[in-house]
Amino acid sequence: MAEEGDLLVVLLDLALLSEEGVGAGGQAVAPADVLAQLLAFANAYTMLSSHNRLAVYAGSHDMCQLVHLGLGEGSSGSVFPAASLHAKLGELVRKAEGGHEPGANGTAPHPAGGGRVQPFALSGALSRALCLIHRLQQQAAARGRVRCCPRLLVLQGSRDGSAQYIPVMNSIFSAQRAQVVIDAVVLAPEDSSFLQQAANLTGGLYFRPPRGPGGLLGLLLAHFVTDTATRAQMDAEQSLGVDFRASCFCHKYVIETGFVCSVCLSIFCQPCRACTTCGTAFGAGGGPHRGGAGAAGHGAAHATEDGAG
Amino acid sequence: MAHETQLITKRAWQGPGGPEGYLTVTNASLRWQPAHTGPELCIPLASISNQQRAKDKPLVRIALGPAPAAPGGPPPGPTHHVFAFESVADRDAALDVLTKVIAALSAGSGGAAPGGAPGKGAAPEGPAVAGGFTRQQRQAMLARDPDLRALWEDLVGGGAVSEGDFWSGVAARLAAAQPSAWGTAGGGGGPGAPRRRLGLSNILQRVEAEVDGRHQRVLRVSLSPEQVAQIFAEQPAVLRAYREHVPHRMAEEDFWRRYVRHEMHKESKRKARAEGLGPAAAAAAVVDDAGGDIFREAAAAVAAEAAARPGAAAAAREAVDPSLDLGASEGERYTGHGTAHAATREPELDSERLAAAPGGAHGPHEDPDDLAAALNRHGEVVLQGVEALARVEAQLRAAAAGGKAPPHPHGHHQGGHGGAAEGAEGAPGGRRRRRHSSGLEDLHAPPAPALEALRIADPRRYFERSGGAGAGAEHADAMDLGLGMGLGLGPGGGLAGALSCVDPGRLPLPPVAPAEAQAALLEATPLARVQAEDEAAGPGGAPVPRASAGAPRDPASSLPRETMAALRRTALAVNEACRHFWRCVPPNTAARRDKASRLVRLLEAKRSEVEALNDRARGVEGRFIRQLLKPPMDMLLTALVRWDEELQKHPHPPHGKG
Repeated sequence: MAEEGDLLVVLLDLALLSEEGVGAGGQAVAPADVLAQLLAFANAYTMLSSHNRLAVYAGSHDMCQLVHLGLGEGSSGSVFPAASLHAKLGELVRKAEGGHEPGANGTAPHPAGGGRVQPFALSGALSRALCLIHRLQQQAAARGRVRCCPRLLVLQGSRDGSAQYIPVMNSIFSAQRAQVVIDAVVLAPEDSSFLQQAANLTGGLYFRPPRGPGGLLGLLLAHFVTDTATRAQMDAEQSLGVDFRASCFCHKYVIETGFVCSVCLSIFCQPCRACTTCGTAFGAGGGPHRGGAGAAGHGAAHATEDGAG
Repeated sequence: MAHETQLITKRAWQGPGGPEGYLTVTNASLRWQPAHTGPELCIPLASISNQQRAKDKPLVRIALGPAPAAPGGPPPGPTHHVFAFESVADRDAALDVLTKVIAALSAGSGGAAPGGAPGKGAAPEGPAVAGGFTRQQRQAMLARDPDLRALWEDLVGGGAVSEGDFWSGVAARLAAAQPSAWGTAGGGGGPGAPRRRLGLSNILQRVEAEVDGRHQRVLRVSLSPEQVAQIFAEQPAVLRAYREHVPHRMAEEDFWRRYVRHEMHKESKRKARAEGLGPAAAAAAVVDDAGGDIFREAAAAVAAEAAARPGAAAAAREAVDPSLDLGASEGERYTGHGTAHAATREPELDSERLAAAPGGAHGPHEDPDDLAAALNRHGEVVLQGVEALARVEAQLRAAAAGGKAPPHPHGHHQGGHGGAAEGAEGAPGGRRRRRHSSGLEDLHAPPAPALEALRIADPRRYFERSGGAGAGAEHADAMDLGLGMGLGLGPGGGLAGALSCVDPGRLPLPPVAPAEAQAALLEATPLARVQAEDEAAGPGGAPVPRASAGAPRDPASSLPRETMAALRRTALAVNEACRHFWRCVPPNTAARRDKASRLVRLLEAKRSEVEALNDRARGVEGRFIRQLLKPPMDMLLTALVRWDEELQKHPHPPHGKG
């Protein structure tokens, strides 16, 4: 069977290219430098093999758009994706400026809440990327190609949005089921619990370089330019701790101890009379299952295994 | 028999129409085993005196030498055997091996005993021929390549793999490395090679016909279906005439007679023009074109249709590959000069066309009798390949399925250029046809798959439009940015500035400062970090100034040469042993199971060896060694786990033929 190249889908948080997002890391790195490094990585990945396929989604707190899709050898277009990627990002900015006034659609164009960058719409980006991967895999199978091991690389510059807990976890479980590896490079001031769990569950790599995005390209070239099979033989350090804390389903708070529905495993931060997810009525004695310390965390871990199965 | 090495096995029948079985060439004998029941046949190689191959038949006659018949003993056996193979190629493959083995036996003059793995470090004796290599060749290869020698000692010397298996693997690797020099008798140039497909002849069709020269009558026309299809694809007027007249007005044979006569008429006119004959002489020399009126009418109708659709012919011409488009007729549509290629053009017809054209505008159609136009159309059809013919055949089939051939007032045929016109309509932008759409896939890269952009916002539109497949995947234009989603580019305030600062064609070089890149690498790569710390500490713990900033030392450079060689040999041996092991999976025969058991013992030994190497490794180099041994260890563990699974599935050895 013919060889099918590696497939990499990059989810780019546009906060990385904003003054607030880059500055949040405590490093004085211009957004243009970060963009140049990302374009250089895109070129390098495509140049590594003519079969390599690269897709890039760019998104922010309220949108996610496919800005590049290169299908490797045989497809039209330039060998180097940087020009196309740059042009599409420019088009995205022009559309945003021309079609929507700042603040339109009820969205806040600027960081709200004490200068903090709005969280990246990770759940939507993951869903779209998984759909794209599924489609490309189906097409490759129809052409009789060997199935490759697709990857998702999330470049995130903002914090997690706890409100997205359920869809993000569902997307992660879907990726795990579809054998899609999720890698993450987080350039925000704090670790991303979502992406730590995503990398942990799907066998991906998670990095949060303490020096910020200054040497981003070095990191990308060292660990993310090769396919997963090659990467398994390489030397990469992964931090041992993964933040498995869950968000409650009722208020989206990140909690360490909570109450778990014994029927659907929904997590709540306080006792309630009935599960808001499955409608199970609990007894008068309190919650359906009074968890001890770390109960919610364990609940999330169990849910992970269930999703894998 | 246990020491004999099987070299090749082919399905063969004992004599034409005889029982079915399998013929095996071993290093000592030629064996035939029946597929079902019956006696086996074993012919010692030494007793074979001759072998005769039947020409063009998969038969071989193995002649046996005269056996001394002892007085009073059993009667002498047959003097020859005949075997029938599945194909001539099978027979030749088996007999080639047989010939080599017999030649090697006679050259070796009874040297080493065949079969039997030699002891460790011994000279490679074994069978005369193994894996297609003679003993001398094998000895030369082992002497030349120390890695191969080490491998051979590990696998064959330990008794895990037989000589034949080992050298078969070597031959397979060499064949894979040099596909052009090694057995490509199977054809196709390997599994990954694109399949060749017969394309169209690039010869302009000339219909072969027997002509009565005296009476200028066409007696007999020879046409293949492919020729007919190509003529239809290249000459739309002929196709139109055919659909209008055959079979309800004339028989097909009559039609083609008329066609040949019409072509002869045009050719004779060209000749007369080229020879500069006068009108009277030309009239005498030109072949009579009595039945050609149907073609002239059809040509006029096609031309009128083309004129009624201004721009269609030009669009069709645009679709022709520019490197083939002669473009001759368009600029030379005038009288007096350059008309030799259009010798049959009637000036009156031109004037009629001019008058008939709406508004007096002359449609940019091409003259069907124009030689340059004919060549253009021919080139176009050849480039389109068999798809052009398939289109014509589909049209004809559709017409035939509809009962009588319609008079084609508004038929599928679009005039002008047939397939080209359709292609032009499919691409209203008048884009030139890509070369690799010509049907000659083996000459061009595969076309880009047409993808439809997927929009989560409205999946229905995606599924409804997926049949059209008009949008290329590369074009993110179809991704309708900003539709259905609020594009509040919140944090994108700096994005426009960043975009304006970065030119994708001139990215900075290097894109990131080396110091920062190295820092990032050290943060994420333990080996590099340990090495850097080791270097920084120096031999006595004192910091050592770096000779060259940002250039980490290659850890392999500090390893002893012997260690590197040992690591290399280990990796090679594990690789080869695993390759042989996986060939025995599933172990569904006793022979496979035995071989796999031997290999598993070797793999266990290698695993102990690798673990010992890992345990002994210390410091920065140790980390490097462990990194190098990671792939072999993974391979060993995978193979051993699989063997355990097989043992659990089949705890008892399967019964069967070895």
